[in-house]
Amino acid sequence: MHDICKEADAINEQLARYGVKFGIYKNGEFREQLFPFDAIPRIIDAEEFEYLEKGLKQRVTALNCFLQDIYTDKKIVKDGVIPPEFVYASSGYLPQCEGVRAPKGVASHISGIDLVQAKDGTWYILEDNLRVPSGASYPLIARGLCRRASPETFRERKIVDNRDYAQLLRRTMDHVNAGGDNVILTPGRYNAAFFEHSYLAELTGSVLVTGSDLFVEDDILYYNGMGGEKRRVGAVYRRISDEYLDPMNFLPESVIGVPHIFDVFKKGNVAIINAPGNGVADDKGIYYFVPKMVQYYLGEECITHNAPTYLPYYPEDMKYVLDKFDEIVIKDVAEAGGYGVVFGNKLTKAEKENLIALIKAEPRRFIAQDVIDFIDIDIMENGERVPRKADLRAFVLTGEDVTVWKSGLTRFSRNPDSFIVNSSQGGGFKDTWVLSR
Amino acid sequence: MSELAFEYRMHSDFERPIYNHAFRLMLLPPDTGRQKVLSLEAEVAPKSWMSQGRDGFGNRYFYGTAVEGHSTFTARVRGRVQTGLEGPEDDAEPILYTIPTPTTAPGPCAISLYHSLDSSNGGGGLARAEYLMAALRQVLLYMPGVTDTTSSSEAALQQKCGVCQDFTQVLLTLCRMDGIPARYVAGMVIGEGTTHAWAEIWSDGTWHGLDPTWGRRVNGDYIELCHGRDCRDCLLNRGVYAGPAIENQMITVSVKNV
Amino acid sequence: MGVITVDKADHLYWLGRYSERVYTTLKLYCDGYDSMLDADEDFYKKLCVMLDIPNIYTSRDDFLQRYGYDRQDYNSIISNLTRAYDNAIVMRDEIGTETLGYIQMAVYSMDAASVSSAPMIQLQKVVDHLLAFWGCVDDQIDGYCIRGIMKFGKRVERLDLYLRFHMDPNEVRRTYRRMLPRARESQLPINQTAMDALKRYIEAPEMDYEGALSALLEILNV
Repeated sequence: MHDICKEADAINEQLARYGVKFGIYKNGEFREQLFPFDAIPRIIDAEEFEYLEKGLKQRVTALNCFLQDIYTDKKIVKDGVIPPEFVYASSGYLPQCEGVRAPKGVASHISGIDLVQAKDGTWYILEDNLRVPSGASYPLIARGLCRRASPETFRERKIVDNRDYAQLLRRTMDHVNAGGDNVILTPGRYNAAFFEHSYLAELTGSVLVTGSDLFVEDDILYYNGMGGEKRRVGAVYRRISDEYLDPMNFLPESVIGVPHIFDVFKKGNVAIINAPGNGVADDKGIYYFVPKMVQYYLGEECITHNAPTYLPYYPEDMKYVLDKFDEIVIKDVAEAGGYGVVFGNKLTKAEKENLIALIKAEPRRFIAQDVIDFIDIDIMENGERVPRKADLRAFVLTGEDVTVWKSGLTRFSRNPDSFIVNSSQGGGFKDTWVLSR
Repeated sequence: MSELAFEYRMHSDFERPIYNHAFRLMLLPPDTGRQKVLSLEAEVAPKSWMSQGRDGFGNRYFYGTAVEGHSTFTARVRGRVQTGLEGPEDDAEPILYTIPTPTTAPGPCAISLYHSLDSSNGGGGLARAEYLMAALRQVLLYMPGVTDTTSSSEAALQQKCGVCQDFTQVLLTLCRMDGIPARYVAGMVIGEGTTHAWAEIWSDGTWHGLDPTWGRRVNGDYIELCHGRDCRDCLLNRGVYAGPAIENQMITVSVKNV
Repeated sequence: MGVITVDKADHLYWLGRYSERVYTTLKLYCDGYDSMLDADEDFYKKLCVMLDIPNIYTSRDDFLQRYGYDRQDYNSIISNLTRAYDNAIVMRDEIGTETLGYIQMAVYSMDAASVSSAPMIQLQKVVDHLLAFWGCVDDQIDGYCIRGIMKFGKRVERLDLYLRFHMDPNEVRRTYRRMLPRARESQLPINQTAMDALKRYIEAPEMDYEGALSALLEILNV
């Protein structure tokens, strides 16, 4: 069988040719960096993917139900499934969205669900990303180049073609489009994911715009064409965060947003993809409740597995956290100035006492998880196969129906001791093959 | 029960002409359990397209954009409001108002003030909030110009002074430390001057207004414009525009008994 | 054909101009490089005059390094290529990844030339990529006005450079005539007064280079 790894350099050269980069700020200076590609693919066989697909569809469906409910009727709170404090304390909860129903019941159109696989083969959900999950463009462009570089591989293996992502995305936008053009709203060239914004605009036939290109008049969103021609916008795939979206409704200091766009959305005259306010559902504290959401909204057992999670807010979980402190990982839900992620056994005695006191004082602020032994994935380094930490971001698109993209972004850490697979930390990515049989 | 007539005027001069001036003015008093709007009219100049909306707290606002270049912008809102009513509660989501926000989260000053207080004084609810109000008035001095709309209660406590916004946010911080739901209200009060802010305390199934700046309960002399978790939720006027210019803004409010 | 925003039209125009500036100045640079080998070591001084840029260079070798590859030198070829790249990178959605790839590769080749022991061979690749870029523009871009704007930029730039070089009048007139249909195709608002003046200066029996240059500067000021 042809070894695609032999073509790794050729593939990376092609990625460089097409400017497959991400931007970072180093010492206050903007730089574009190539996103290193490792040619050893992550392979998911048909049966395994079928399981993941079922689980992810169910999960995202429930999350969409939750988002619709939490900003309107709040049944799940009233029925005592989720304590209201967890909702209101979430930094992603936006009171501005109270009473707003997302068009056609879809708030999370593009969901990026991060998973890892434990050594016993079980897939665990690490986190749900329902705001502006990025990364699909990398495996998307890489696949075409891999096929070019190693055609035999794709003749011999039955690998599901993943190059339909742009069509899926286009369909997702068209489904909620309120009449007018599709646009992709980028913060601009100096955003880390600008490559993705521009590439997806190219492939979906959307107009790539920045905030200053758009304007609102009489509750309709437009952009100005050359020669002053006004074009109506029907759907905005926005790649800027909620806070910066609209200085009239969110952060008044924002200069990259579009004044009044949220009012246009509330009046049903434009679709915003993903809807504002989704952060309440992908909050670390809310994560614990996702299996309960599945049960509550769909009446089904949750197929996907959360990493075993404990909320010190509940007395029995608090007891567990204190008993097993050295074996667990503690996550601070407070975003800014928080503790971040802490391994219990890595703390000094004093640090440990401080943290325990804080957990007792503000139990709602923390979650704890059992440490899972994850499978490492091989990468090539200096001609040798070495194991590294890796996760998988699956993309779930919700339009007329819910579709799991038959691929995903596999990111790995290049540092053997690191658990962090973030691209800005020097990680790389792999293609993710889903086999058709 | 009283009937009040109010007039709010905003006048902005720009050093140089500006354009694409988007504005949002949260100056339309809502009907609540405690007040009922009898009449209302709003106008802005120069000519702009305008529309109305309602935020997640139920506050009403009008908004629009003055596209053409201009170097003055004025807004005027007039109306009559019945106040001092005792009607049913509109917004009964008190738990939202027990959660600290970035501008009301307790810092070292708030924590030390809180611990210096008698923890049993006032019991719970409104009486306790009145005790906390009295306590913060011992610490804070009224002084304009030292804070702005991004300032936190902690910053006000640190410098021991501020305006109605800061008095209110400090009261919210202290109440929330005690688990008492408390929210921020922006509005107007009888007399000539500018806008005002106070707190509302959830107690016995209803909201009670407390004005920590003047150290008294809110009565029929007050008109609510909007409420929220903190001053950031209650920005009465927002504007962004294109063009480099220094803005000189004047706001005058007059509220009279009819 | 889609409608493009005003900012995008601007990027397309300048993408056309800067890539042409790189192409034409690169040819000049290569000819100069050759002359300075053995014929005229100080030829770069004449080049600066011709290019209408300040002579900030201390020697032949300083010129060859900095004017070619120094990103800190505002007038260098790499600075102009970077500007072409900056205008291209924000236009991926309109010009396409395939087309953009050639500008990207031109940047890589330029950087490779700066450290190469045979820079002229590497620079040939830059020229190849730029020619392939324009070929790709013709072949792949459907939008009539998108292509029109870029090619208008390209023709304006070439005319601008040829006027600065005081190129042979017939060559200038030929370049001018090739620009005219692009002005129409671009659908950009054109300053007709400036356009008429340009025509007069260029078609005068004794060509007025300076007059033509200043008229050219105004053709998009409406």
